[in-house]
Amino acid sequence: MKKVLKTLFLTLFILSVTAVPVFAEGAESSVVSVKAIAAAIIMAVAATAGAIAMAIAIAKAEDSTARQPEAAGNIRTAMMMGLVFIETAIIYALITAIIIIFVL
Amino acid sequence: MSKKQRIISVAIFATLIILILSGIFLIKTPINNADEISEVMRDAVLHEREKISIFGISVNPGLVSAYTVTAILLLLALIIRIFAIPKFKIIPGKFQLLLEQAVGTFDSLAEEKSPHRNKFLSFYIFAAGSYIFMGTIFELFGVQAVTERGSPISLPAPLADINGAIALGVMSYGVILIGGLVANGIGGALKALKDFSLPISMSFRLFGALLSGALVTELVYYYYSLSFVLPVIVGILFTLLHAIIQAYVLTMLTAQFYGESTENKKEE
Repeated sequence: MKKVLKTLFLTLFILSVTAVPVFAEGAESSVVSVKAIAAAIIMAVAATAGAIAMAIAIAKAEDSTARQPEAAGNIRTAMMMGLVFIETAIIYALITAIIIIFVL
Repeated sequence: MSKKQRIISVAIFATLIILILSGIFLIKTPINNADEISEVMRDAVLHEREKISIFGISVNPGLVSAYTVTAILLLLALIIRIFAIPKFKIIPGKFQLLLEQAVGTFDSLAEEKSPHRNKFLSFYIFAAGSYIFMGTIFELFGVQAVTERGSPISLPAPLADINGAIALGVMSYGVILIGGLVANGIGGALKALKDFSLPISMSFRLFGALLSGALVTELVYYYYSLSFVLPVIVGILFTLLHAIIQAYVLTMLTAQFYGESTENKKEE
């Protein structure tokens, strides 16, 4: 887990360093590029976290279905509910990205 | 099909593809586009430029498609009620089976999630589910309308407009709230009020899902070079799949929370 975090921070650091030359080009283009970077980071983090969360939920559901096949229906319903809420969180991030790009 | 025929058809197909591709790369700029892609996509989100005038009022294109979808659904319901339902038999035909399946799915969903009160809920989720499904499928037909600027625009899904999505989400929340109020008095309504983030989550999930689909299809349809095999995949992924998933998810959430707010504590 520590390794993952380290990689993530390193990527962000490299991104921010490489973005510096873009800032020098002029006010208009730098605003656009900052918006693009912000939207990309939002979507990347949200999609990664959501995918990991969904994977954990699905894996647990599969585990319990294998353990107790007769409860498959209930498990599937509960898993669907959970997936729906995780997806909602990702869609919030998507809407934030859209707002940053088009409205801000 | 014999081997010779197959070779001939493959050759014709390949020639056509090569011709089209060479046409795309020779003609750099698409002929009929007056707008930049960023402007088109911006307008799909904000609806600032493209307005349609109905009865002298300029409205978003989403409203026109919402009215169209509602009219189609009402007409369809009327036609089915007048012509199909009197002919129902004990041994059902294909169409009767389809109708029974559609109604039965939502009915059993309502009954399963909300065992105490589900008469109105099953009507509501059937209506909401068929509206979301039809509204999303509607985007696929690409019905055209003329904007106030005089340019044609293909009508978007009604729920890709944030107003439509918020209306549906808040209406579902209202159904849950009123159901709780009728079943359990103030206590039921308070129980539903506890989930105050529900209308936001329901409406924004609809809006986000449909808008992302609309933006991707816009992008794909804009460039000639992207418009060969890709629209089939994108259309299926972002329209048909979203139609089914969003209809299922909204009805399931509504039924779940309706069941929670109307459950009868005294009997236990």
